[in-house]
Amino acid sequence: MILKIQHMQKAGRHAQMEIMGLAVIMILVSLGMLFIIQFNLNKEPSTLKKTFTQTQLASNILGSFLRTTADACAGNSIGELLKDCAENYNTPNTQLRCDANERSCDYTRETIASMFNSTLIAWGNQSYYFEARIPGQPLMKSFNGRCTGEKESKQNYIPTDAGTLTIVLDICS
Amino acid sequence: MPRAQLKMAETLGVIFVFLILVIFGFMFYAKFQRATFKTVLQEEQEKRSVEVAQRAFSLPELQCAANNIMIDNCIDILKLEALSRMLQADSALQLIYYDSFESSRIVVKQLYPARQEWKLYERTTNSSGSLFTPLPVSLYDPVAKRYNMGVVEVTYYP
Amino acid sequence: MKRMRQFKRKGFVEIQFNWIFILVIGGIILTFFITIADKQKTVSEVKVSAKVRSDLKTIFTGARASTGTASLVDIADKDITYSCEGFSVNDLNPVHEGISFAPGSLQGFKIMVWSKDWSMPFRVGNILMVTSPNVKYLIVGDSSLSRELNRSLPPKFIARGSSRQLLLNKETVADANTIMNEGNYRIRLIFVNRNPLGTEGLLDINTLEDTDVSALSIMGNSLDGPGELRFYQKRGQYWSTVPGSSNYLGRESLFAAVMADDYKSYNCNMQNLFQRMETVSEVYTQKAGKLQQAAQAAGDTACATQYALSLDALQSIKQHATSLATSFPEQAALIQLHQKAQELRSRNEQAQRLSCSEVY
Repeated sequence: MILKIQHMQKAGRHAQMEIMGLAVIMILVSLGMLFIIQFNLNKEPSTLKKTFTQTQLASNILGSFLRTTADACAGNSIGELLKDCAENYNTPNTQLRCDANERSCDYTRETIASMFNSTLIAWGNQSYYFEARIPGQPLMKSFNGRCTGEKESKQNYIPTDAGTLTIVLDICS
Repeated sequence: MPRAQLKMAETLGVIFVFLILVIFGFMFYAKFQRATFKTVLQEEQEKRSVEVAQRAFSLPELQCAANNIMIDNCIDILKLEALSRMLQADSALQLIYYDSFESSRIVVKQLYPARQEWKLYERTTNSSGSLFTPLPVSLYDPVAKRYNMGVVEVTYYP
Repeated sequence: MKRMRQFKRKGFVEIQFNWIFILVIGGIILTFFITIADKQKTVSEVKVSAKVRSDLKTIFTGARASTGTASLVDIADKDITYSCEGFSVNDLNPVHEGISFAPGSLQGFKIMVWSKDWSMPFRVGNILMVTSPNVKYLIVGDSSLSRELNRSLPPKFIARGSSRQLLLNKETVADANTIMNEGNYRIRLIFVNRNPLGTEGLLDINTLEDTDVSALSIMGNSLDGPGELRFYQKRGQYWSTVPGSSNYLGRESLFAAVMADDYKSYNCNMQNLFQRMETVSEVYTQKAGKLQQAAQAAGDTACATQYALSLDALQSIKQHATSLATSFPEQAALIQLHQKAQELRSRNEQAQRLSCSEVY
């Protein structure tokens, strides 16, 4: 009788050990699965197109803006008007005059704002920051939203009599 | 229950549990693979749409040139008008350009000074989604010798 | 005793049954997993091929957009075959990216990609030249033209970080006697203004398959052409000339002939290039017409005359391009096209001098 009880106790312990082993295996498998799920869920979505578009947008917009011939300013380009604005910023009366007697600085400011409206804002209210400045003197600014995250930045430099004109365009993520 | 039957039931039980685990594992693997495949497919489609935009942007038959020196980010309006007309009129030519543009819609829009639009290429599919890539560009008018502001809008249908 | 024997027989049957059971179930499980592994192997092979195919497409699109420079690109070591239909990896659809020239097979972990624009005289398109650094290019002879050819091809090495790597495995040798097989899977010999006949048996390359040794003979006065090309293929101890003859126009097409080791794929791609030229020349014809109308309307007769003359040249170019799109390497049409291209170039320069907008 004692022998039988001892045998039963031994078998019971053996079964308990087996169940423990199984439980450990199941826990390990579940952990593995959870890890894979987590890894899969946290995977960043593809940013290839976004990166390409933003890089192209920043450089192309700035390049095209500066090259564009102003409609009503004696065939000058926006770049030339910005240069004139920089050189004559403190003497507005000597600034180039466009149609309706508008000065080069005012005309450029309005044109640039309208161009951003029909591009970056029209394509999904894209946040941006534009600035044209000469050393110690900001000439004009235009922006939409706030640039808090990553941004694609493009700078252009034009030598002027008033120092280097720096034109910056940041496209925000 | 005889010992042999008990052993057999135990073996069958083990096999059953093992099979359940295998099936469960496979279901999980299939789901995981499907998710990976979706990501790869999305990446591939994005890559394709960028490639189509790149091709549209670097076509010598559209680019501005001064004595055969190409000007970056610039489209010649007279060349654009000519190619657009040719593509609308000739379906065989559209087929030649399919190699480059695949299933997409390419429209060139002038934004400044006046709004104008040229449809260059269109071949759509029944696919539900589309990928839109706008590329700002200068539009050169060789008659007036002036640069306008425009955009090449590429809508790619995967 | 009888019970004991009965019990023993029962145990024996049970053990035997257990073994059979293990064999059957084990066999089923093993077959199941072997099938899965086999399927996975096939899937992963297709996956790698698809990845290489997709990479090739991206590489070629990027290279086509930026012309002039040759670059070395890393790629998975898959045998890429090339024909006029494009670049094929396994049985997947070939990658057909514009006009491209390459040897029949690309092997190794790296490929050289070189894009050049072909202008006649306006830019028709960018031609893409692709080869492997494991293909040996031997320029035989020491004429000024062969030296110029060597200089015009991409450099032998390219700097990558702090090291330099083989880009185009090219070499100039004085004569075919000195040619050695240095373990390249393909060898291409380039003879300038001479043919390779008489060099049979002199080559230390007999260990290579016939398809892996080819020669090109360039017959012309300048790299810009027009000139004649003869394609040769090794046939045992001899050079086979059948029927591989063609022409080149513009140095880019000559470089293309160096890269393409098969005259069929060269001619086919040149025909595609002329088909493209047909479209591009039509675009320029329409542009010249518009410019002429505008000049006439503005009373600018000097510009209008230049545009009218350019229009004539463009129409002839288009006509020759249309014919060459199917008849290339027809020499007469090629020479006429070259003359008209020169004429258009001088008209464009004249228009520039007169401050008229250029046609191209």
